[in-house]
Amino acid sequence: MNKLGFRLTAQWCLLLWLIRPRSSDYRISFHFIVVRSNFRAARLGVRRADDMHLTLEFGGGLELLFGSQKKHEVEVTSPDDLKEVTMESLLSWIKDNLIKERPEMFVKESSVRPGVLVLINDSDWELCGRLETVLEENDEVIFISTLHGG
Amino acid sequence: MFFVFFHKMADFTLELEALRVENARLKEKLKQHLLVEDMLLPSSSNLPRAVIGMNREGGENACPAPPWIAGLSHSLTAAQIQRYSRQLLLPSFGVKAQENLCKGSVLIVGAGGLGSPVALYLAACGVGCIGIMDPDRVELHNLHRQVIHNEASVGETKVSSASRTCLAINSSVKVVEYPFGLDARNALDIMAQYDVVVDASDNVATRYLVSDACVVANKPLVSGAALGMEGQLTVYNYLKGPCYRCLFPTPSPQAACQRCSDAGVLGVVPGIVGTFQALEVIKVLTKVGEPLSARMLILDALSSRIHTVKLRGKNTQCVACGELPQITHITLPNFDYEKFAASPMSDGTPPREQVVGEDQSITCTDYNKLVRGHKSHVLVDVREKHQYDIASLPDSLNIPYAKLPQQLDTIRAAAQKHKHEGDEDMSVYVICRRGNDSQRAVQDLRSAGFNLVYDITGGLLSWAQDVDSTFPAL
Repeated sequence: MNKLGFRLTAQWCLLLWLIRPRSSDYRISFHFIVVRSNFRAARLGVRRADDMHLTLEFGGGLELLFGSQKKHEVEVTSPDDLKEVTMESLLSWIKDNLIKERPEMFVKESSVRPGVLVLINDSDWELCGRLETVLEENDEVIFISTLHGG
Repeated sequence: MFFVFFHKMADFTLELEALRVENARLKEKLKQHLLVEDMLLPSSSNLPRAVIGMNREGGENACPAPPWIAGLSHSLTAAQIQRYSRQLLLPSFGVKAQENLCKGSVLIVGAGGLGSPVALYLAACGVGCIGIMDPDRVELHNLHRQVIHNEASVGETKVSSASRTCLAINSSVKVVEYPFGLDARNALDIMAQYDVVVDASDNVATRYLVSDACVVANKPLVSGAALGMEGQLTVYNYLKGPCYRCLFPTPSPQAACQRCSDAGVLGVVPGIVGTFQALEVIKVLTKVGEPLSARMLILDALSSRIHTVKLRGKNTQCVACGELPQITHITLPNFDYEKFAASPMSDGTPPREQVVGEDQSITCTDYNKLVRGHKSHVLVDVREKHQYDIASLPDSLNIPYAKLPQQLDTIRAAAQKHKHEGDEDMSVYVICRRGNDSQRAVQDLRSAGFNLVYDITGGLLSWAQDVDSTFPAL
C-alpha cells in the first residue's frame, strides 16, 4: 500500500511538472494539495484495503454528541473481518470510534434511541432493512433527531 | 355618369349601416364595462351589493346574472378575481384551485413561530375559514420570529393578535379563535370542522395528540418543526403516507427534547418552515402538485441546504393508523398524552426540581446580603459559555456544568486564592439560569469533597426578580 502510494505521488509530480502552467500559479498549488494528501494517506496508512468510505451526517441536535460537527467522512472497517459493513456494525463502530459524549442519547440496545430517524442515501432505513442493511462504498447515512420546537 | 353616382350612394349607405351596427355594439360593450366597474367599486355603485357572490346557476328567482361571463360556471366573484388575479393567472393553479381555497378550512395548532407565516399566507391567499388555536399570550421575546404579532399586541392572547392581523390582510376570510390549548377531550370535536390541520405546536405531547386526532378524524396533517438552525416538515396521514406514530412509535427521551426557550432559534428558520407548511396546505386543499406525503423536507439553515428524503409508508402495526388501531374516537379523549410523552403540553419554563436540602441552598436575597457584607467566597456560574457571555454576575467563575468534573482544580485554586489567613474552608456558591443545574453541581461538588457548597435558589431568573430588576434574565 505504502509503495503504491509513493509511486502514485511520484507519477503525479512528474505529470504535474510536464503539464505545469506557465501563467497561472493557482492550478499548480491545487494539484500540490492533492499530491500532498495522497502522500500523507499513503504514509500514514489511513486507508486499508477493506476499509469502506462513508459519509455520516448528524442533525436535529445529535451533532452535539459529535463535537458539534454535522458531517463526517469516515473509513469504516467491518468488525470480525466480515466482508460486509451493515447498519448494525456501523452503529457499534460509531459508538466505539466517533461519539464524543452521552452515547445513551444516540443508541439504545443495538439500535438508535427512539426519536431518531435514519436515512440511507436519502431513504428511510425502514425501506431497506433497518439494522441488516448492507452498506456500500460512498453511501451516505443521515441520523436525524426529530424536532419539536415551533 | 349618373350610374356611377348611384353606385357610390349605395356604397355610402352600406358603410353607414355597418358603422351604426358597430356603434351599437361598442355602446353595449361600454355599458357592460361600466357595470363590472360598479361591482368592483361598491362605494360608487348604484347596484345592490348582493350582486357580488350571487348564485349564477340559480333558477328564475335567483339574482339576475351579471353581464359578464364567468367561464365554465365557477363561483368566484369579481372582487375575488381581482384580489387573487396573480395566482389565478398561474396555468397550474387557476380558478378551480382558487375556488377550493375559498371553500377550504384549516385549523392551525399554535400561533407561534411556525403558525405566524402559516396564518398570514393562508389568510392572504384566501382560505375560506382559518381556525387558530393557542393558549399563550404574546411576549416580547416572541416577536423576533412570531411575525404575525407586533409590539402593540404584547400581553394580548396570541389568537386575538393573529386573528386581527389576518383580517387586516384579508377581511373576506373567516377567522375562528381558540384561546386555549388542544387537549384530548376537545381535539376531535374541533378538528371535525376543518379540512386540513396544521401542527405548528412546540412540544412532543401536543404533537402525538394532533397526529392521533387527525388519524381518528381522518384529516391530513401538515406538520412542521424548527429549532436552532434546523427545520423539518412533512404531511402525515395523507394518501398512503404514514402518521407521526408510524415514524416515532416511542417518544424521544425527555433529555433529547430541546425547547426553543432553552436551545434558542433563529427567527427566519420557523419562518421558512411555516411558509413551506402554508404551501403544503394550499397543495392539499387545491389538489395541485405533489404534497410531501411519505417524504420529509429537512432544512439546514447554516449551510443553506434543503434535503427531501423518502419516508416509510403506513405501518400496518401502528396503534393509531394500523389495521387494528387502539386509538379510536372512544379511547383518544381519555389518553394521557403528557404522561405518554413524559413532558408537559407547553414549551414554557419547566417546573423547578428541588434536589438539594435547604441547608445546602441560599436565597438570592441572602446571597446579596453576603456580597454586600464583603464576605469572601467563590461564585461558580455553571451555564454554558455562550449564555454566560450574554450577562453574568461580577466576579463569577464560569464552569459549564458538563465540564465540571474536569475543572475541580480551578475551583480549588480560586478558593485558595480568596482565602485569608485563619479563615476556615472557603464557601462556594453555585448559580445557573433557573436553579436546576446548579443543584446538580452542588451535589457533584459535595461528593467530590467540597464541604461548603451552596446552591443559589432559583438561579439568575430569581436574582432578576428579587434583587436586581435591571439584570437581563432570559
